[in-house]
Amino acid sequence: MDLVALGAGIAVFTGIGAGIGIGIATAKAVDAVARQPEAESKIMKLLLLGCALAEATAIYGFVVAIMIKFA
Amino acid sequence: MLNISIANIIYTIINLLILFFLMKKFLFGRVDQILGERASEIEAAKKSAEQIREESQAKIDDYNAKFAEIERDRDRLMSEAREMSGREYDEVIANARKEAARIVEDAKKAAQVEARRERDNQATQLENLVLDAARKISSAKHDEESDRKLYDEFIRMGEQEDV
Amino acid sequence: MDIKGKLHELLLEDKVAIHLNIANGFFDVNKSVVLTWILLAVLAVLILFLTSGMRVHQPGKRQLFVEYATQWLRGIVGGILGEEAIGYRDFITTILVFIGGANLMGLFGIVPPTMDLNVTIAVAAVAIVMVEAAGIRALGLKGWFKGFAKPMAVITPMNILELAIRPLSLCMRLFGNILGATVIMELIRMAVPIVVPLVFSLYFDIFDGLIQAYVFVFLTSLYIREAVE
Repeated sequence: MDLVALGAGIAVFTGIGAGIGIGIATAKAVDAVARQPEAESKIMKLLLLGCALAEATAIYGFVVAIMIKFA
Repeated sequence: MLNISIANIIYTIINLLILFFLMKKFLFGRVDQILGERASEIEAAKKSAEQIREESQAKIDDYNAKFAEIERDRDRLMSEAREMSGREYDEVIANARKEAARIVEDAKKAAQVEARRERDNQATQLENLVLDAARKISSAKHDEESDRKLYDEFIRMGEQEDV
Repeated sequence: MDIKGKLHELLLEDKVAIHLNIANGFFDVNKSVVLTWILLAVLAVLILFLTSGMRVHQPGKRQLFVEYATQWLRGIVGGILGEEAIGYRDFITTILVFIGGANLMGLFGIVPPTMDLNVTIAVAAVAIVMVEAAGIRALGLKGWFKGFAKPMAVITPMNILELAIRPLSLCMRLFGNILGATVIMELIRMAVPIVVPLVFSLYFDIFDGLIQAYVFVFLTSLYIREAVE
């Protein structure tokens, strides 16, 4: 059995954290927009930035998976 | 894929620095120069406008001062002229009054002279009357009755003369 | 060609573009570096074209555009940097243009230079050196060392670790995002060669690429701001 593939698969579990993080961030952003619709553009900017940062953990997992598989 | 090559890292850093100097010199430098020139030009224009404003303000003040002076002169001249004309008027009036007084005086004098002449006239008439009466008396006989008649006639004549 | 073969081709290809027979191939020039040369040349031509014949009065459309774009980019970076670190604005803007331009190269079917770990390491190294240099310049060497014990002496090891973690996270985030985007784009191209890749490239190449460039610059600016305070 190819344990390397299993390791790569486990590394991609980091996506869970990113998913939860982006979910929370988006929920809060929706809340904020509902409260203050006039601040939508600002909130959207911050949300995009936060998502890009939260996504990073998933990307780290992806990079590690690729490293395990190919490096 | 993941092999790290120090040389390539250094190449990239050099690339980045080259790009930085390129942008600094040709993009930021030029843009800053243009913006700076524009800003300084605007500043200069503002300053010159301010200067012109100040100059014109000074001119306006100057004119205002001159105008006030002219006004004052005019007022002075006017009052002088008024005063002079007033004096002349007074003089004319005074002269006229004097003239009138003189005329009145003359008239008075003439009247007096006339009156005196009249009186003299009457006196001569009276004299003549008296002389006439005296002649009548001297020519007529002297009795009491004729005397009284004569007196009465004389008085009547005198009364007639007087009237 | 199957997925595995495509991935192998993408990830395990020989990256060396120019082989130099010195020091056992140590000075070999990678494809990514050649691509950044091309990027540099394009940017240089673009800048020289855009800024040529600039006038103080009655600027043309080209000049208005370049003035607006320059001030806009600087405004983005300057807003994050704050007043105290405004001197680093131009360099950070350069990094933004470099990464943004490199990421956008995927639009033309070229493998972006930022997919090479060496390029992202280089940019992250420059960024972290600048962050620390800004800290040393603002606080002095003594103040910079003292800064590690802030806000508490207990977290000093964490602060020292951050010295390594920050550039690592910067470079890995950029590298991973671009790698992921490129791999997914290649897979999409393999599955549906027309129309669909166009739509996805809008997201992966333009949106994601620019967002990542912005994130990189945002974090670097934030670090610098934190360092000079």
